[in-house]
Amino acid sequence: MDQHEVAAVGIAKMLRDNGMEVIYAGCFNTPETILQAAIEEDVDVIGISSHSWEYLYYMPELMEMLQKEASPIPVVVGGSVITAKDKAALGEIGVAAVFGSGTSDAKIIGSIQKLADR
Amino acid sequence: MNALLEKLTSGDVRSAARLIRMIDDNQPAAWDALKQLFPHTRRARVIGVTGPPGAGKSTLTSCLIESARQRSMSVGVLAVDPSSPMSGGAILGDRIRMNRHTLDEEVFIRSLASRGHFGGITPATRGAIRVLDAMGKDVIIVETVGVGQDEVDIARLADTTVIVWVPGLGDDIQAMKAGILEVADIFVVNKAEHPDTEATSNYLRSVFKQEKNTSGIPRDWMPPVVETVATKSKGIDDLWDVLDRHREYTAGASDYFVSRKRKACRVELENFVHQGLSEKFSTRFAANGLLDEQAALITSGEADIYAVAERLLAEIR
Repeated sequence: MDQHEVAAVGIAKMLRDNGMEVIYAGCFNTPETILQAAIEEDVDVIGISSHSWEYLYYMPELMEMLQKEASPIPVVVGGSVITAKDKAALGEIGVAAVFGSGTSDAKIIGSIQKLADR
Repeated sequence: MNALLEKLTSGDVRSAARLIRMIDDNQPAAWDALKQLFPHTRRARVIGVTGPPGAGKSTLTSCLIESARQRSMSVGVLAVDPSSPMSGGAILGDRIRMNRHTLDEEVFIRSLASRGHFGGITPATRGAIRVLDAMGKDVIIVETVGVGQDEVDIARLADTTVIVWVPGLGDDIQAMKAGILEVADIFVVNKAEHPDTEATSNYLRSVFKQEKNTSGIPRDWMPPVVETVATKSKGIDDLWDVLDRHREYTAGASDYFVSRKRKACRVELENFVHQGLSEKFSTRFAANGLLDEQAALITSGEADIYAVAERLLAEIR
């Protein structure tokens, strides 16, 4: 959502190298643009990268919009500044997985694959 | 399935997105859906945009979306990016350049991975075009990475094929000439602020004059060259004028265009039959060990490979 792009691109490459098709939506998206892109692309999982406080502001809005969908798309969030407390809060509003700094590649790939296979 | 079609033909985004996925994943139900929606197609105008990586195809596509919307036309976009040959995965990034249209309800953008298909487009692209057509999009833009001969495939899909070029690549066209000249309807020289622009445009025009026609039917449309700066939306109205001229040309009774359309249709039909036959073959013989059995007999000298082949072929009916 914010302007920090390096990690998102890195994750996208990692997922591609593990056989996934990644629609890279770029920076400065809003919950509306993310939801619309996800619907048009009929994705299995939405991945949000945020390295600033903005996820606290935008995630509840995105989750609320998604829950209105007939079949809600699972969401994972990655970010270097997500505290344990925020992680719990994200879980409470329905985020399927949260990846803080130091999360292993295998864990990220595994979680996303599991969500996609449902 | 009828509920899906009903929703789709009334323009429902989610139904269209789902059906494109079914087609892309080669699900058997997609065939029936396409069969049913076929009568609702052939209305949209299909524009192919291709050219080398970095030529500005996505940015130009975004400009075309903008102009189409100004002309009150709804737009569907299919953006094809290559799959990784190593992992089969892909990063599809064309949307980024078109993000400003995401919330426009009259614009539908879908990314497709090439999934190992060489030819600039995916096997599912034709089906996806029909979905967007049936959902009522006035203009469908198919953007593909063109490297070498791949442009030929996009020309089979599109009513108008736009090749995006950039100044300074002039002489490289020699290598791509055969492929490009057969398929280009319009040449765009993008990034036209570059000092080599005029030379490149002139070069493209001269190349066309020298081109010999191999199809046997006189080519009655000479691809115009349009200069644009897509990042500044410059030259887009000129491009649109040329697109409209080509549209008028295709609507007229051009033998050349009609024969191109028929050829494209024939190729698609052939592909369907080939695919069906090879599926039949797989389920009848390859899966049940019969081929291995016969191969063993042939290698041990007990059977004749030509006779076995003839017998198998006769059995596929």
